[in-house]
Amino acid sequence: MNPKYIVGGLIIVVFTVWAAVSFNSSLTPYVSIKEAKERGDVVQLKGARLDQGAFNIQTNMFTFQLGDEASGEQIHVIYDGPKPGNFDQATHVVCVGRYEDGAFHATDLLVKCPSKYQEEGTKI
Amino acid sequence: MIAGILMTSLTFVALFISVVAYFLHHRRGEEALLRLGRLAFYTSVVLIFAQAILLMWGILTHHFEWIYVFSYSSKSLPLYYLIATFWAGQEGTFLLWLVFGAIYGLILIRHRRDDEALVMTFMNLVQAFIVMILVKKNPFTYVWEINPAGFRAGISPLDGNGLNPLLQDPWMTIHPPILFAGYSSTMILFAFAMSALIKRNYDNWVRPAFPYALFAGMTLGIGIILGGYWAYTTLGWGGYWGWDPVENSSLIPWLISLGLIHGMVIQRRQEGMKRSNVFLALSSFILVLYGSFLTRSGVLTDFSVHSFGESELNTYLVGFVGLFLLIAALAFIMRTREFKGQKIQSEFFSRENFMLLGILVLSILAIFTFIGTSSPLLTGLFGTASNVSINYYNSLAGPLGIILAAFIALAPLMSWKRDSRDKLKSVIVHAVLALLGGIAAFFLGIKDMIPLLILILSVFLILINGEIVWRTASKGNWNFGGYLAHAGIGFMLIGILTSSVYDRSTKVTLPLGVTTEVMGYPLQYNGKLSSPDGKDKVLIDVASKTTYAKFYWSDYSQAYMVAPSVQNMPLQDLYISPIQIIPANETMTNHQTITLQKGIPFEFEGNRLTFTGYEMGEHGMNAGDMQIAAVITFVNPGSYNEQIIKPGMRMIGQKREYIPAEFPGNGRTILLEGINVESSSISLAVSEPAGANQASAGKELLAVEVSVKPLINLLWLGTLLMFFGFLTALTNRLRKQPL
Repeated sequence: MNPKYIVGGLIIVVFTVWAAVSFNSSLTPYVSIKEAKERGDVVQLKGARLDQGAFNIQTNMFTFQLGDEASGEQIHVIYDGPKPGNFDQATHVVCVGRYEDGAFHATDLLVKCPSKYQEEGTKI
Repeated sequence: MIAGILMTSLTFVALFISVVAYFLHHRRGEEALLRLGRLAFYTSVVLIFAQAILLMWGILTHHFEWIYVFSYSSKSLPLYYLIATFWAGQEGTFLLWLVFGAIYGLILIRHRRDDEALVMTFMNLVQAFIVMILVKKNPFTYVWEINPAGFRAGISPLDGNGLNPLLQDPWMTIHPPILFAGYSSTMILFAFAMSALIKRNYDNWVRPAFPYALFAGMTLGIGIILGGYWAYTTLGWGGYWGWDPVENSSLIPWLISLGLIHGMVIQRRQEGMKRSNVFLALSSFILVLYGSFLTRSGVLTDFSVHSFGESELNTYLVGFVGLFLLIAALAFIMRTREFKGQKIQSEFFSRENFMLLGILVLSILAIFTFIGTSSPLLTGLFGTASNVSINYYNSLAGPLGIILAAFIALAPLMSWKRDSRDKLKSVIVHAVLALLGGIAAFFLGIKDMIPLLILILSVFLILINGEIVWRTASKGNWNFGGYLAHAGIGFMLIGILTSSVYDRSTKVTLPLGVTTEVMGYPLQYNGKLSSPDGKDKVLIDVASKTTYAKFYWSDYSQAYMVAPSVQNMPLQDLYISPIQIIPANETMTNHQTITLQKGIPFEFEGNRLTFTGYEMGEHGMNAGDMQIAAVITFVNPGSYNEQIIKPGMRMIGQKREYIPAEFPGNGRTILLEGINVESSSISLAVSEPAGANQASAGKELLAVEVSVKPLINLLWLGTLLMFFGFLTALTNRLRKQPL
């Protein structure tokens, strides 16, 4: 058998396995606040912004409250970084992180704003 | 505007006629049909150009009664951003696609005689479907037709919504046209491959399609890097590539087009790869469509920071992708048994074999990027929609980068067909140099396995390919485009590695007017600079050199807009991205408040302070803003020197800003906290004398993220080399063998 098929096949198999493993381990599911509290692994959380939050200069942490519109459940979010510039305008916030010691430790915040850019067309 | 809408509809009719006529000509061979097909196509070209000119004219002359002009431009935009408005929205980008499609069609008709009919059938079919999007969502529609409640019919709005400030960047004026030139050129590859399938001739299409594949590879590549450069200098998140769906959706077809280019080279040499090449050509186009479906349909709004918003075009776009996928898949499957290619029976250590493996690696990277990008859709089928994190892509790209670099290094050494293991001896010097480079890099801090391997192999491949470029060029031969592009890729790999794996970054707060040393650079925040266009800047001195970063509130986006200050140095970039301005009163952690009555001396810690009156300032003010300072004489009994301090405040709109004063002698900060007009008194906040934060207490702070990006210039250099490599290959090919 031509070694090129062996090498090619090997590349395909190794990377397929490798991709499957990293796909599963880096998958961050969208969950509700209730689920996030139960799971404790890295998840994406979308909720309504409940307050303006507070930034601590000393620790460089930003904290705020996130709420679930359907269930009314709330969660305390701690983000390692400053308050996002458009936070006060946001209706919803997507947080990526994990629930630990009574708070959701977010590594990423995605602020969802009602922006004009998305309102084009019918809703001017 | 009825003429505009009418033109769009007529374009569709013309293209439809052209598709039918061209296809019937292919079946029946009647000359009249060919003439009709061409005539209809030429008509569509005229109409498309007319619409493009009309839209551009409408933007430049502020026809805000047209929905597109209203939605994306405003009177305040300078000329070059008005031009950029053309491709700021969906309709404009589709029109841009049509313009490129029309140009490609003209070139194809001029140079193709034998396969014109079928190639143009499929070109025009795609064009017709794009026009259909514009028929559905026309840029020339009057605003009052979209929103009768908001606008009175017949009256043009006074001003438009304006252009998204993120797009107001010089690079945004050229990035989208180049990228769309690349996107739409995959349509040519699709048309050639389809005509090959229908004609059952899998050999003849490769020669004419090759320059277009080169063109697609070049424009997509440059378009992607320009987009990255724009993100790097404008968005301020610190990088140029984030594996975002929008970025991935142009990366995937690019990787496929690179695979196709190499596959075509093999096919012309070895008669093999016939089926794969047709497949790659079809995929590059389908993946472009799929990418634009993902980013425009709104499916990913929860997962991407910069996808377009939800749109009513969703179902249409899904149908569009689905239809062309179906056409391509059916044609391919029906013919798949008929490919009679030569099995490539070459030795393992031969050039074509290493190229094949390289194509395999490119395809694997494309496929897994595709799977990652589609993860919300895929996982949505089985349960809750989830997205993969950047780690997924990075953990795959590293090892694939190693293998790819190895193949790029070794393939050019090998001869076609025969076993060329003996050639490996000729690059021992190169290998030793690369290893020495690796050892040096190890001691400079690159201590991880994967980056170190990529670095060594990149140096290796640059040396090998560079030498070939040098030797070929010095003979006066222009046949070195591919090797130059490969050397460019080598430099890009090193630049990406050093600037994104070994970048260092830290978040610091810079007190106003105080020098802070950050990563070896003395930085000083020197306040804000208001700009007439509203894009206020912050001044940051880097080693006494004034630099600017943008930081301003955008009404358009309802967000703070940030653009970093990027100091480009030969060996690294210093990248300072503003995060937040913390006003002076919030940084007064420990302080005491004192109240002064006008004219009555006040004893404070042995000093005598007397509030004598106000001073109104007009320095650099906009209408409606005001600035006031309290004038206080300050006498220290020890020195009997009278000093005057002026703590003040500034009202900008509804926002209050503090202008701190310094406590004479000890550097403590005094803020004017409040003014009571009735009792003609003021209250002052004085920071505590000794404290951990004395340097920053009571001072306005600028929170920034400072990063150092080592050797990022190699990425830009590599990009240029790659571009010139493509350009050389393309012009060399066109000189030897016209279209």
